[in-house]
Amino acid sequence: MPLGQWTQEYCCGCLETWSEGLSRRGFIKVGLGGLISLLFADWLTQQPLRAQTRSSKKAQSVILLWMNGGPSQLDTFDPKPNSKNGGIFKPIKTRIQQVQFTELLPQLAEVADQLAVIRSMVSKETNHQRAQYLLHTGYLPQGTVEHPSFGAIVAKELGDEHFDLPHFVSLRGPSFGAGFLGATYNPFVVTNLSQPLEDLLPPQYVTPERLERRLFLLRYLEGKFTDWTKGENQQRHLIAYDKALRLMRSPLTKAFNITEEPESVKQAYGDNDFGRGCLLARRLVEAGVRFVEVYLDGWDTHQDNFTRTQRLCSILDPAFATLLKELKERDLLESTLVVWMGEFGRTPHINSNEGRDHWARGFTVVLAGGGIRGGQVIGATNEDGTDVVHRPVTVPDLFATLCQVLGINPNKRYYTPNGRPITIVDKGQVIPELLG
Amino acid sequence: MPRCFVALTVLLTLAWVIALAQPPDTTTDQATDEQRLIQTINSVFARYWHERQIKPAPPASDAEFLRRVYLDLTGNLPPEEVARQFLSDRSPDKRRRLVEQLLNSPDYARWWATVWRLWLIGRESRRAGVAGAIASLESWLQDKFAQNVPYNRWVYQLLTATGRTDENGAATFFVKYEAKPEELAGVVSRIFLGTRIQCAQCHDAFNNPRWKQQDFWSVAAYFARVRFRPVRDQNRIVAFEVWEAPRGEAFMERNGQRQMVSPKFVFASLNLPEEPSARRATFATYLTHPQNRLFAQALVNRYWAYFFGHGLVHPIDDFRPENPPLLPEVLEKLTDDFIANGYDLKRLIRIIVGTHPYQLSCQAPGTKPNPPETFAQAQLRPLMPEQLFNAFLRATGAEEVLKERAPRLYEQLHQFMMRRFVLVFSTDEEPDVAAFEQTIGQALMLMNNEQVQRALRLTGGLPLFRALTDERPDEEHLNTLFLRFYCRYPTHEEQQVMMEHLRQPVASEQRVLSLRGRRNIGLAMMAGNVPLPPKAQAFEDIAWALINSGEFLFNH
Repeated sequence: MPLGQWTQEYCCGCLETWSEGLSRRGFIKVGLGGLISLLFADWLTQQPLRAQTRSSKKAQSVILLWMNGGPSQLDTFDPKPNSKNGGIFKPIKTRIQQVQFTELLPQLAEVADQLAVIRSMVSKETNHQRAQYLLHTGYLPQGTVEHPSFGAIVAKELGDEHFDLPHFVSLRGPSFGAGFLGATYNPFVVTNLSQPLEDLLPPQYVTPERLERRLFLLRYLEGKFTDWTKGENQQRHLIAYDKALRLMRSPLTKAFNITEEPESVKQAYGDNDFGRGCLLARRLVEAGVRFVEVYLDGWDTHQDNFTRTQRLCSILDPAFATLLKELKERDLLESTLVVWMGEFGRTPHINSNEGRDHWARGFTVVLAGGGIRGGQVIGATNEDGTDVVHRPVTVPDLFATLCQVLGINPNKRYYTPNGRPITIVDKGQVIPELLG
Repeated sequence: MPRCFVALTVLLTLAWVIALAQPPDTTTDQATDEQRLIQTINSVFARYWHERQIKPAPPASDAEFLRRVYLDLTGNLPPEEVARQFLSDRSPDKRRRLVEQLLNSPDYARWWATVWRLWLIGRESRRAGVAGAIASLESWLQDKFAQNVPYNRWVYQLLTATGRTDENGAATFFVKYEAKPEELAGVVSRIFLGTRIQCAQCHDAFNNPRWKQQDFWSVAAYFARVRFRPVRDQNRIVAFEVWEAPRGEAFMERNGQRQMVSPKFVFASLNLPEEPSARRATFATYLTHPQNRLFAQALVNRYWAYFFGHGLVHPIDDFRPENPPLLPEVLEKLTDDFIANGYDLKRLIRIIVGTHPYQLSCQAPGTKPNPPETFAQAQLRPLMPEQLFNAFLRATGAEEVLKERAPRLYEQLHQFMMRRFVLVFSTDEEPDVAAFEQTIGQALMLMNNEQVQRALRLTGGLPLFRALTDERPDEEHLNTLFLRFYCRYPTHEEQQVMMEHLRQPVASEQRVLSLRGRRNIGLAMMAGNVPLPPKAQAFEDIAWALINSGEFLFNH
């Protein structure tokens, strides 16, 4: 029986451990022979794709607009006006021929020529936590392995070690961590967006001279302790402090301060945290940050779906549209991939509380920028929105495509600390129509 | 020449072993029994190091031992007074007495309830109504540890729990995994049997050919009848209720077919009569049965890994023939003792912390550190966020000043800061994650965060506050700071460096107030509205440096 039949869509990676024959722990024990085969394996999987990726201009940064709770596709990007499931919002024309959004997204309809709308996302996971993990990492949670979130992967693959700012920044949400890639690639979380960066500088009474005196004492103590233990963890601790001090002194940190922006720009994004987050994301990408995640929470609309979705869209629409406009004006759109998604969609069926429940069999993800071909819709759901009728796209397919756009080899293998090989993406197929 | 050196080391080690093994004054049979096992373990390690030509670190000083055992047993630092007393105590059995005293303190039960809660259900849950259930599980566990209920007994109770989470905290375990048989099968095997069977959920496991898909589902079948539902009070979830339904089966998908799988205990062949009781009760009976040795081995190894940062079997959830323990004799002897003494967790802890490897220094014996798997040097273990937070409150004095004088402010600060610490310092408890790496956010928080700074303001103020009310010299206040943060006195050189720092002129902050006679000065400082006089600033700077150094941030 071919191995493929034994593995499910998202599996645990133990197949690879088995088929490779040796875990990395094993490799350390067998020595040189193992080393050669390991290098060889890497070379084999990477070489052809590298050749492909050189040919086109690549995105360098990602802005993820994360719709926490699972947004309703029917009330936003995939309206069903002729169905009882359609809800109360009217469809409107967009810049894509014969494609409609609902009336909640007028500004996005105007920039739809830049959007690629995937209406046929499918997954099996309708539990919030597990689906959030899946849509952040590309894998389902599996107990012992903690997969890195995509932000951490992008930080690792595209980030320059000598850059002052963190490569992966999460605005208002905890996001998901770097897992087995290690805390270096964890998101740098900013919770208060109205003010300059939290904890960046000591209180005012600690003058620069005092800070120098403090650091003198600290260096003295650290030196003693390092000599004493010679421990690796102590080295890691010192590296983190070095980086933090570099950040404290870096002129680039002014990117975190949106108070510098003109009032009109702030108004265009919207006077709310999501609007401020999108503006901050633009500033960070401009400064060279690789991955910014912006949260918009509240999409879990089991009750009052229509009122709540309307309110959320009034925040989403201007912020998202202004972000695209600004990126374009500043010539950043080609090098910045924007992704709009949540952990799943919502049921076509409207429940007795005027709400919609969890739904993963046909939901919407929107991509823009980064060389993605805009002005198109991928896949389709049926008249009632209850099934995908054209070109289903799985989560690994989506992740493989994101990798491709960014010039990351989706088949590259990482090794967990226990030596399990795990590919960046779990067997996804790139969606060629999306590539420019 | 190196041989002589090794021989000398062995001799010294033996001398140490003998010193340790000296019977204490209040010898009981039980104590000598424990000592004998400790000796055996020590000699196994001595032999191992000798054979591998590993030079172990020197024995831990009293200060190192004190800090380590306090953090490990109670999740906190010792109060200053305790540190002073312990360091000046000259009696030979003071370490043993300290361990005994800590094991009998309420802090032991509280801390281990937290540790086990993290092991059982992890750190955070974003679901509504779960916070109460988590607290309830923790207080259930606390009760078990306070009474030292045998491990096999409370695990049985946990795995057969029914009822409302607010009445029986153990039920929370099933809520966390949403009573899903496939989740519970994986988790229970991993935690209580140190075995990963999760891969076999979808197919026969490749990494461990022993586990067939059928095996996974026959474990899952034991949990196929657990049910749970939220208990609401006017639309608000107030608790969850867990029960076992009379019917319900586990089904696996194989070759596109759905097959029913009957329960079977696949981990050990036990000669036990098939019991007609409820499914979970049957499973828990088999699991905790003395004939199921893996249950005790996995626990012993889990505890060993907790105290050393590395398991005898490593990773701790990977027991299988291809991954044998480092020193089988140690694991086996500890397991025998654990089973023979009624799964007594306190006894196991007493033995582990009594061993020579546990009582080694973190000082590298040569130019390179001994790696964790040699157990020949105490490792730098990053404090868990909960430990770090406790240590921070205690060392800075925020706890003692606020708890009594402004309990509400303390409670607010506690909640706010705890969330921040857990958010910023959280690492996953799962075994297959990266080695420790500190983040920029952690460094920034400790260096600059306003609340942390305020607490340090207070510490800076404490010695000064005392200096104005008593006439002790600065050196004595320096001792206070070192004892609070590092559980030790400063070395002579450190003292000189710090005294030099204290002598340097500092610009006054504006509006220096007299501190004399102000009882609530600590509170005012916490509120950030009292400028510190120059000397207090200098102490504050020292406290800042102490808290940011690796010596504070690691358990070592």
